[in-house]
Amino acid sequence: MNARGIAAVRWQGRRRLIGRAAAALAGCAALAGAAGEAGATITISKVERTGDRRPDAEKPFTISYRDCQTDNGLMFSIGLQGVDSGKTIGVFLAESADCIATSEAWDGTADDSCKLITEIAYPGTSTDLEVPATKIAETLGAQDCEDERTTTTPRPFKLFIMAYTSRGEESVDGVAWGDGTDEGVIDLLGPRPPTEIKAGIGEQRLIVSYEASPDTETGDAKGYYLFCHVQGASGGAGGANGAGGGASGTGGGASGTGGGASGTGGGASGTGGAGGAASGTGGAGGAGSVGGAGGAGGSGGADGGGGGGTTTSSSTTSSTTSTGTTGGGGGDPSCSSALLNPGETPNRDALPEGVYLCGEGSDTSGIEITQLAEGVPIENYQAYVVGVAAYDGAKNVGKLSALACQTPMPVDDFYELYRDAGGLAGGGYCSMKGFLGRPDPAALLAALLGGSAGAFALRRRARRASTTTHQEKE
Amino acid sequence: MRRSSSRLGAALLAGCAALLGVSAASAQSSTQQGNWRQMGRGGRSADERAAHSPQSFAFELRFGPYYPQVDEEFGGDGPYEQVFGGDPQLYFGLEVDWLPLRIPYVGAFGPGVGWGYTRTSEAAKIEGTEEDSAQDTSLTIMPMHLSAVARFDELMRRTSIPIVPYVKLGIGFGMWSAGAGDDTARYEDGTLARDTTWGIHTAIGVMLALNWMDPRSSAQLDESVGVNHAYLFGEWMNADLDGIGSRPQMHIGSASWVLGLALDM
Repeated sequence: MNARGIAAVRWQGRRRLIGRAAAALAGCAALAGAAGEAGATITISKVERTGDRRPDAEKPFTISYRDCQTDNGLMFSIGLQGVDSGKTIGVFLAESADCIATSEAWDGTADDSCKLITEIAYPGTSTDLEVPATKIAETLGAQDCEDERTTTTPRPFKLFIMAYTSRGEESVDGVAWGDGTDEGVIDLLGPRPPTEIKAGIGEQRLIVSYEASPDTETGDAKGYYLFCHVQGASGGAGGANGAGGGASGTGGGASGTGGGASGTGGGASGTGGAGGAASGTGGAGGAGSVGGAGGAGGSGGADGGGGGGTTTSSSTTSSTTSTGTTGGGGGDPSCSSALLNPGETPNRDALPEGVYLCGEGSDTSGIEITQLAEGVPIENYQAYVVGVAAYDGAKNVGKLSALACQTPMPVDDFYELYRDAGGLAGGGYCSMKGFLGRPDPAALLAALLGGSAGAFALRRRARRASTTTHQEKE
Repeated sequence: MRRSSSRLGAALLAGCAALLGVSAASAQSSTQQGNWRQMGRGGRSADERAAHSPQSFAFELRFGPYYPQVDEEFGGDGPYEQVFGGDPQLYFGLEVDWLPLRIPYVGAFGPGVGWGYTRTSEAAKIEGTEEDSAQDTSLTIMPMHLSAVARFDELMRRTSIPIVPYVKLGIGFGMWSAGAGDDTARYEDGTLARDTTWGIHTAIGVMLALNWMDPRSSAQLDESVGVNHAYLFGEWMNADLDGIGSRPQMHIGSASWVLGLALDM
């Protein structure tokens, strides 16, 4: 091949190269077009909570019920490189759709799966964008932070920060945020309450056990809060006498007399009047005054319903009416509370006066409560009410369980019986009243002799060894 | 008093013997391959001796019933029986023996230290009733000892009979604590329910060497980690932790059979 031929081949090679480069450029341009403005990038440099970061929570970015109520939202620091100044910056929320890739998902029609949270005019190359927690909740259908779903599991979502000229345009620059585990999760419901709560008798303690929340299996229930109060502790007067039953029952009419214990620090539940003999309705329980427990409903007649107990407290009002069973039912006189209401969500930051957060943890059995709060011990012969609520990883508190009541009493533990029988041991591992403190004189003598003999033997042996070594050296 | 002092004397003598054994072993280490070990006089072939790594430690993992003798102080029926009944507690323990001293045709000697653990709990009765409360009451005991140990293993070493009798004698020491629920119990005068008790520890037992079951694996075990023998053993243990005559100590000892596994290295 001559020089011209070689040059022709080279040119052909260059043409191929140029052709490939042109094709590559065309491809890049097509991709850039699909993604939006060529060279424009939107980045998230930092995400912060607008309020507390909830350091006690397992998931600091998850929007909890408390975050929603206090509007503890998210603050995004974003960078906008190469974005045209005429564009709008919008934040969209979607539960599953990819807003950047699907223009129909955010074109402004009613069926959009990407919902607009907020939008601003082009702010420059960087800005902070606040996304309120309440807005996220509302967008997901939880008005006033109340999630009406039946499941209590967390709800993942994604936020899309996009730059656009008009809604639903085909190519758009944007960035997505949310990993569905902590970032981009809203969880407004606490786990369901535990069941089968029981409080056992201990000496100056209650021993509580319950069946775990059903949401433990899904991983939503992380632990439990135990709420306690002294039965009738708030000092309200006892319930007024209950009206006698029998008003509507055939053969009824036996007017019962309610309990209505009153007195200092009382508030013991008044007992409603007894129901009529046959089908009477139990008398209404006496009403407790502020903070006091209301009277329990009276017993129903043979087939009658029990009377309702009415309670009034400073923070809660509840009324329960139980249906009588054959032989006479009634309210639940064994455990009632004016301050703790099963099925309601306790607010651990603003508990009614007299109610304490008396325990917290993940155990479900053998939980010992020895004090209501620091410096407020559990006392023997005083009745207490206990309720339990589960919490999740975002520290959402679930609804309160049924209540358990118990009165601590002295118990005979082994050591007490040992001492009562005349045993003297005890006082700690370092107490000086044992072998060293009160030794048998003969034992002491033997110990001294034995120790001396041992020391003498060791010394003699050491000397002998030393002499041997010395002789070997010589 | 005479009984307690004689027992204490015996225990101290055993302890001193153990200490002297340690001392002797230190001195012996320089002459370990010398006359003391009677190399070549035991009838074992040179190959057999070479087949085993040096042996001076024994480790035991022990299990057995434990009958705390708390009520002994009260002449029989006492608080222990009343609360925990007559059933034994499960005891487990560990023991390490250092056996540097070997007497030809007899066996190996040296000091041993042991630690054990046992605990029992029951629901405490509501005061003045027979009704169980929800609160547990418990007794935890950690019996320990420092003993002189003699393992008569020459029979096994010189014949094919895989039996090793042994004895132990020394000072016993126990730590105990009584629980009330999750806490350590306290008496009404504030006394904390935990203390220590001294006593005499004696034991006699028999070990069954397991090497004959798989000699090749045993040899490999010896070669790789230095375990000469593995044993099953049964022992009569008398942890007589009663304060050795000193009154204010809870009698937390036990006399019972113990079974376990042992290794010598």
